[in-house]
Amino acid sequence: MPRVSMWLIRAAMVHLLSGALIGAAFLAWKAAGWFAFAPSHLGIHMEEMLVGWLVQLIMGVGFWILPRRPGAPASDGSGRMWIVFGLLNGGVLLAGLGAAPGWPGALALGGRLAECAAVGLFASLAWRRQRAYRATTGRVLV
Amino acid sequence: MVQLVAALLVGVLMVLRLPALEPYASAALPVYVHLLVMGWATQMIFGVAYWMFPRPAPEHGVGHPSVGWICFATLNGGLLLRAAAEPAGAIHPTPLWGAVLLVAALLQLVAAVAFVALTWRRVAAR
Repeated sequence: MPRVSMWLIRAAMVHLLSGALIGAAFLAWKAAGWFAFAPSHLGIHMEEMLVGWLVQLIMGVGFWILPRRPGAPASDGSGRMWIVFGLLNGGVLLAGLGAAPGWPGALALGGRLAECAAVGLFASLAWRRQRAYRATTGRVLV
Repeated sequence: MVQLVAALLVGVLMVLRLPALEPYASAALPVYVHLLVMGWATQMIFGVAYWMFPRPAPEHGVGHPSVGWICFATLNGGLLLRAAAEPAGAIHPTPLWGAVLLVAALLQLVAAVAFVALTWRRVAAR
């Protein structure tokens, strides 16, 4: 597994834990009125669970397992994937903070734009790696 | 797959707005979203990751199966309790529904922690 995939997947798991924690706090607020901060942080919960967890994990695994050009090393394209990693996690952070009280709403716009840039860059890397099986297709998981 | 079918059925019921199911169907949007995102997508990821993520060493296997079963039971148990308690508690707020919702919240959090504990070491660069 390329190093950048490892960090994308691990960052996704951190977002899963953080998002689940806020989600549990929100349910506890609904149930018993505890954690009064939780309703105003619902935007962070959604951003972390949908983009930070699901999208990031799929990108990390996709970069790892999609077929590569014959002879290309596992790290081919890693430099641009590190930019994806930075844009996506920065975007989730900014979009989440922008949705929280006390932070300027422009942060949310900046975060969403960074997420769009990350997705565009990932798509440009992954697009050519999606191809049908051939008789000569070898093992690609390294 | 069961959670996906359940989510889609909840989605259909929300659109049909049958008088017999109101106001529960109208209050079911969070349940619909969580059955799809947690019950289907996230649980599918948990299962596939447990199966195919690299193993640190042959003798390590896939980690402690008991932790995997805890993850499975808490995720599905938590979502089931939530599916009952969240709409019901929104319409008839009682201490009982509140307590069930608290348990559901705790179970779903435990599922996330169990998955990360099981998987973290298996995500490694080569």
